[in-house]
Amino acid sequence: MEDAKFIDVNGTRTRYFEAGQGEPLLLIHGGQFGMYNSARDWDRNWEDFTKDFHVYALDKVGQGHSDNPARADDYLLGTATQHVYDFMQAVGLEKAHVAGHSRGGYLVARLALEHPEVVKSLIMIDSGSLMWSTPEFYEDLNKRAEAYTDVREKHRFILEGSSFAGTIATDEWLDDVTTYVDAPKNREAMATMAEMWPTLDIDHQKNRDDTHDWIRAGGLKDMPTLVIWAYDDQGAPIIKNGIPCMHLILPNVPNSQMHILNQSGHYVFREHPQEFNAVIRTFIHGL
Amino acid sequence: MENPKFVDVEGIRTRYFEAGQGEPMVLISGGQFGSFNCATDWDLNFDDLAGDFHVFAVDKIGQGHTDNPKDPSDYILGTAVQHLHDFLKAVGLEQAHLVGHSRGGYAIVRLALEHPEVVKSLTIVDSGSIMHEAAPFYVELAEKAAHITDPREKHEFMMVNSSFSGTIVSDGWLDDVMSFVTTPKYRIAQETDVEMWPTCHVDHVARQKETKEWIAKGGLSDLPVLVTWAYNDQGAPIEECGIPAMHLILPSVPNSRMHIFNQSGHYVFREHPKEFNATVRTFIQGL
Repeated sequence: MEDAKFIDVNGTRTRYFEAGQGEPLLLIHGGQFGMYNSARDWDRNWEDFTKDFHVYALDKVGQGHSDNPARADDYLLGTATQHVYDFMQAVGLEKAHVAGHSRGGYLVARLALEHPEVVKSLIMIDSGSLMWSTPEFYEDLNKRAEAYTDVREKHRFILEGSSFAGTIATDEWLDDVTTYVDAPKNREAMATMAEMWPTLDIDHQKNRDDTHDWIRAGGLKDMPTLVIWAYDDQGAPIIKNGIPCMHLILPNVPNSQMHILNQSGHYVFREHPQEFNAVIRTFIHGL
Repeated sequence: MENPKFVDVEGIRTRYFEAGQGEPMVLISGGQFGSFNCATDWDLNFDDLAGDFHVFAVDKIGQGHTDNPKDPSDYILGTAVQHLHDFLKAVGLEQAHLVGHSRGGYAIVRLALEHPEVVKSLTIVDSGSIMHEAAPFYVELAEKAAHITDPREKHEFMMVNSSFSGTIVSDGWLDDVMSFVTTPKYRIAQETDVEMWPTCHVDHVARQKETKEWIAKGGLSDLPVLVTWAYNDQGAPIEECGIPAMHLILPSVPNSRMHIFNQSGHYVFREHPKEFNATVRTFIQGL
């Protein structure tokens, strides 16, 4: 995963990666403004995907090396959805298979709701935020991470603490995180996020409920959809989030399916990259 | 799916189909003695799988064109497991990927328990018989079909009503079923199965419990396992059987996963043959 590019997306300088040829596949990472997640989350999947797809991964607005939202009032999940849409316009991507992890999974569902014409198929991965919030796990993990003063070790702890096997933090990922997570831009995003959290959370709950109603009313009925879940996800548990997600999607989306990978925490595409990529490839090639 | 072969399996004349080259794969149908299920349940999958694998499909003992058990006391599920083992030996298969549907899924798990050396991997498809004791759905279905006197119509009715879409009956399958369901052999198997049912059932319940305990203790811990389920299976419902099967297998089998197909009844490999084959192919080729 090399040669990051930058593009102006309606005034938001945006980092992205692009490689390969074939069906366009856009990867959307999780987290929100000021969090450590970025396009680099996909570094263990990237090379393999480029053999079959024209792959894109971007840093969402206010994450990684993409600019922060212009105003504090823009610290809403909808801002990230609009940014992804505008990004597709900016790079000339008319329509793509979109795969979203965690809050990125919620984002791709909203993208299909707001701009269905740009979505070829939908892949939602361990998207707790599409379902019900379970903040306890991350609150506890972040609290335990405070013991680390070294930024690199702190983020290694956080990522491995979200995993099943503790083997998912690569040097490449850690190197990249250290380039932005403590920089002034990201500190500002974190501070604004903390301030705006109550507004974002209320807005998210309402939009999430609207999204469920829309899905139940057949909003995704023409969209090929793959739901992926990790059996051992602690932040978005299979019983509390994964199974309800299955019951939300499958009855309302004719061309949908669910795949559950084993011995994996939240970052299933990092924990089992080969199997994860094979499942995605089989899904898209089967359309 | 053409040119059936016959082989003597410890005195049981056994019908099977064989085609293709590659990793050996054996497809095991559901049902039991005197059920209409047989090797041609896989007629919508067989030729495509033969493009990648050395595929076998066998009529289990007392089903299709394979001889009945010699003694009424042999009308227990363990007899079918031993017959499968002996069949593998008779055709010179030292080890194979086993794909088992319904009672065939239970049979391959027992085969892994009793003869682990012959199993390369397990694909367990909608196997209610691993999980629950009885499926009233089939009793009710048989009652609903009782008024149909024409055997062809009767079996078409039962198959259609086990499905989601009603489009899973092929002429090839129906022709084949007609070639055995009116034979004296078949009638004897049905009558003996009814007579021996209480014994068979008590034995099955005891062995089912033993099998679950064995799995939970790590009996399958070294085997690659794929569990697949149809979201709309009426005989082996996802809530009652599928989710519990996931919770039985995934925590105890490191190299396992679950795939849930949508808009399908019990015969998921007939209802979505392309998607089913692709999922099995991805699983086995990823090992």
